[in-house]
Formats: sequence, structure tokens, C-alpha cells
Amino acid sequence: MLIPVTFNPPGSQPTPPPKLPMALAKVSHDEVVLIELQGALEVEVTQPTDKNGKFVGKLTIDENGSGKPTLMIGHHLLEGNITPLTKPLAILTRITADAGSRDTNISSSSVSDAPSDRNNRGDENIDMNAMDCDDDGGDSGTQPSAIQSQQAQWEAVGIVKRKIVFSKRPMPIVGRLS
Amino acid sequence: MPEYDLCFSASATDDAATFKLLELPPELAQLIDTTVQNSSVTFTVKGQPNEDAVLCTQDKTYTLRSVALSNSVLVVTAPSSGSSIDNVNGGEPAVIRDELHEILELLPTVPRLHRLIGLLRGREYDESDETSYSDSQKNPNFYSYQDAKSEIQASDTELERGLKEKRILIINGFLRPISKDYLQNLLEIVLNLLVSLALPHDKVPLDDLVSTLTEDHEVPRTVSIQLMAWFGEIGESEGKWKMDVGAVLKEVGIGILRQHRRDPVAKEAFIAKWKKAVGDTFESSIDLNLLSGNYLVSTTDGKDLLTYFPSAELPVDPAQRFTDLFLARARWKGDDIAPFLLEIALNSKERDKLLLKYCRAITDAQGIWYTSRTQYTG
Repeated sequence: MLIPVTFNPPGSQPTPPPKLPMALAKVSHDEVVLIELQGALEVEVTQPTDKNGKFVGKLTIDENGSGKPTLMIGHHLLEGNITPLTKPLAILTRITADAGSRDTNISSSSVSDAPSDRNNRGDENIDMNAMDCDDDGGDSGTQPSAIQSQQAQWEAVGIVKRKIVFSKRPMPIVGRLS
Repeated sequence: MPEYDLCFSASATDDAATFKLLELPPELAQLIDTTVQNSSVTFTVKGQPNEDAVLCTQDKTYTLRSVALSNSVLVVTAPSSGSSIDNVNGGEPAVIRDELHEILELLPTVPRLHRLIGLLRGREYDESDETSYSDSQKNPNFYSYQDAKSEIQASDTELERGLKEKRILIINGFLRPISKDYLQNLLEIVLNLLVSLALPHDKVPLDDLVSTLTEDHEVPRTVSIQLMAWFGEIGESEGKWKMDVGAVLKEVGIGILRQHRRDPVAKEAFIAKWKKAVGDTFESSIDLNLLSGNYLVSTTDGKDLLTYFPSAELPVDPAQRFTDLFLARARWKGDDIAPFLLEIALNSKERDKLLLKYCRAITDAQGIWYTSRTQYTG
């Protein structure tokens, strides 16, 4: 079995991936940033899809992408650091091998967010591979995912050399920060 | 201080598990950095479902290892245009695409070519194939080069080199290891031809040799060309073949030595036989070091005796290999054991690591000896 992993994929996507806001882009890469948390984000939802698009917290960072970033989640404040990585990390994302339309997940998400698509998705047992086919329009989304996953391909979104780490315990905050 | 609203991506549930973090060793990071913009670099993950996956570049192989993190890493990007984000807090949004708990580590490794030997067993190429040449095309049992490229866990360059080193012919796109006796025979024919046609070994006219082999010995052109590529360099432009004397002598030597797997041969007798086989011209180039990793020396009554002991037939698993080595001999000198570890250790540093792990070093008047670790029970 062969799984290609491509860096600097050729051919620009129909829509170039959106760039991060200035300060975050300066951390390491202009499209993607890594945030490390001690523990994990726990979300209470009745349906896993419920958390989609929901607000998590407020991230504050110096304009130069340096200094002490903070993350405010609810009434908890996290203080963090920007740490260089010992070895650069490549962030890979899975794409499906549709001839012609090469879409990273970044661009596919924009398409699948169209309202009509959304309705379909609510009832379906959500399958990553089937989803990406939807872009071709029509009902091609019902293609067997087994075939798709055999052609799994990974593409590097970017290579990062620094990450934001929140390694301290959260501090409870009363009232709003000025 | 700019503030950003951190949100789950509008497609968070679909994005889950579509991201991976891959740690890049310095040489790969450099390779990607130096590649010009707009040209892509593709690595390939290779492996059967029941094998440990490896990542292959054009010329190197790395094992992929998943390292679990106790922390979680969020992959954060800008929201895709038009997505519906609860933008209640007024700040610029940034979205969490995925939450990861592992990274993939890459460790350089030796190409895993040993599977080839098993796959190609019983598919040797020998004299009988010379006449039934075209049949091989129809035989579905043969293993193709294309299959090997996708199934063998080695980079293309390493696979190519492996085929050369293991003396595997590519006939009509199928892999056929050359039978040892046949190879021996061919080399002796070539050596004889060089003498009888009075050809200089560093500048052999390619066509003369190939056509003589075809006409007088019924050796197909494709076989002789590949044979020459194994044992020397072919200068395409001037149509000459520069024979690699060492490689040819080694192969001939191994051929003779192969008959002494059980009954040892005296060193002098072996050398004499070897010299006879290669002829007067190359007599002087004979050196027992050429055969390192293929024989064991034992001394009885002041005479050195050689036994055939090919490292290629030892197990690839380090623990098993050392067990076998210490079965053959209770203790080894560092220099003696090194040739038998070449195939499993990437470099001398790796080799020393293996020696540390699987051996006990004892120093006496004659230097350092390696013995088996007594507590080793595997």
C-alpha cells in the first residue's frame, strides 16, 4: 500500500487557503498555528456536531506574535508561552484523490458549509471521505468510502517551528478583564 | 494587544482526525526548505497492513513511529470564508480544526529488502531460461519490479541498489534472482573471454562481449547487460565496459567458498583454487578481505581454515542475528563481527549501539572481545 505525502503541493487551489490574522501568523506559519494545552478541551453537547462553530475562548497575543499569550475560557484564564520546537513539525492533512479537483480540507469545508449541504449532513452518518466528494455536485457523495480511503493522500498544510503552549493551571477570574 | 476569538471550526466533527503532525528530521526539513517554491516534494508511506509503516524519500527510508502526547495540540487556522461562526465577541475569529494527541516521529532505518528474498524464492533465473526466454512473460507467478516498488519498504534508489547487490535480474519487468551456479559460470566465461579475446578489463568493447556471449554461450543480451552493470560501469557513450575487478573476484571467490559450508578448507588451498579460477591477469588482485562477511576463520594445528558463513543468510532481527552469531562462535573481535552487522546497522554508531545492547565486551591482552550477554534469554 502506498500513501503519498506531498509538500508544497503543485497547482494553486481554486481558493487559496485563508490566512491567519497578523499576530497569529507571526508565530510560525501564516495559515496554521499550533496551540498546546495541558489536558484536553471538554465539551458537553448532546450531538457531536453541536459544537461546530461554537465559541471556545478569547486568545490574546502580542502584535509581533511574541510575548505572553493568554487564553480566556469562560471564567478561567490561561497564561502561555511561545516555544520553539526542537524539530520542525509538518502539519499534514488528508485529502481525497479526486482527479482534477484537489481540495484540501480547508477549501472543502467552505463548500460544505453551504446551507443546502448542511441539511443533508445533519441526518447522515458523517463520513469524512464521502463528504469531500460532495464538491463534485449531485449525489456522488454516496461513493463507497472504502475505495476513497485506499487512495488516501496526505498533504502538508505547513511546517511550523514554534508553537503556543499553555502549560499552567487555569486561574479563575471574577468579573471581566479590562 | 490584539484579541482573537478561538472557536471550533464549523466543520469540526468532519475535520476530526484529518490532521497529523509529522516531526521532520533536520535533513528532511532542509530538503523541503531548499526545494524551490511551486515545486512539490512527495514522500511515500509504504507498507502492508500487517507491517510497520515506513516513509520513503527518493533515496532514504524512515520508520514511522507514533508518539503519544499527554497534552493535546490544537490545529488552528483562519476560518474558511463564508463559514458560520458564532461571532458574538467581536474579535477576529480563529478556528480549531482538530485536536491531536500524538505526533509521528521519523527514524532513519535500513531498507527492508529481506522480504524480496522470500518473495523471489524458487524464481531463480538459470540456463534453462535461456531457451524458454519468452515464456517468462506468461508466467503469472513471477513478481514484477512494479510490485516490488510498491510493496517493498525501501526507497526507489535503495531498491535499485538492493537488486544490484542481491544480483536480481529484471526480465520483461519481472524480478528474477540469478541462480548462483549460473552466475558463477557466466563470470568465469567472461574472465576467459577477456583473456582469449585479449580485451583490456578497464575498457572492454561492450558490443563485442555481448555478442560473443549471445552467439557462443546463448546468453540473452538483457542478461549480459545487467550482469555488466552489476560488475562494473557501462560507459553508454563510448560503448565500453569498465570491469570492477574486486566485485568479480569477490563473486568468484564466494562461488568457490560456497562448497565449504560444512567442511572447512585450508586457507592456502582456497587461495590457490581462487587464483586458478580467475586466471593469471587478476591473480595479484586477490585479497581475502574481499570476502569479508562471508567466511569464518578457525585455526587448527597452526593452519587457518575457512568456512562459508554468509551474512546475507543471517536473520534480520538483531536479537536473532546475535544469537546466530554467538552460536557460530562464542566470542568475536570487533573487526570480525562488524561485517556481519552491516546489513542491520545504518552506520558505525548504530552498530556500536547494537553491540552495546546485545553483547558483553571483555578486554584482555589481545584486545576487546564481544561475547553473548549471559542474561539474554530471547
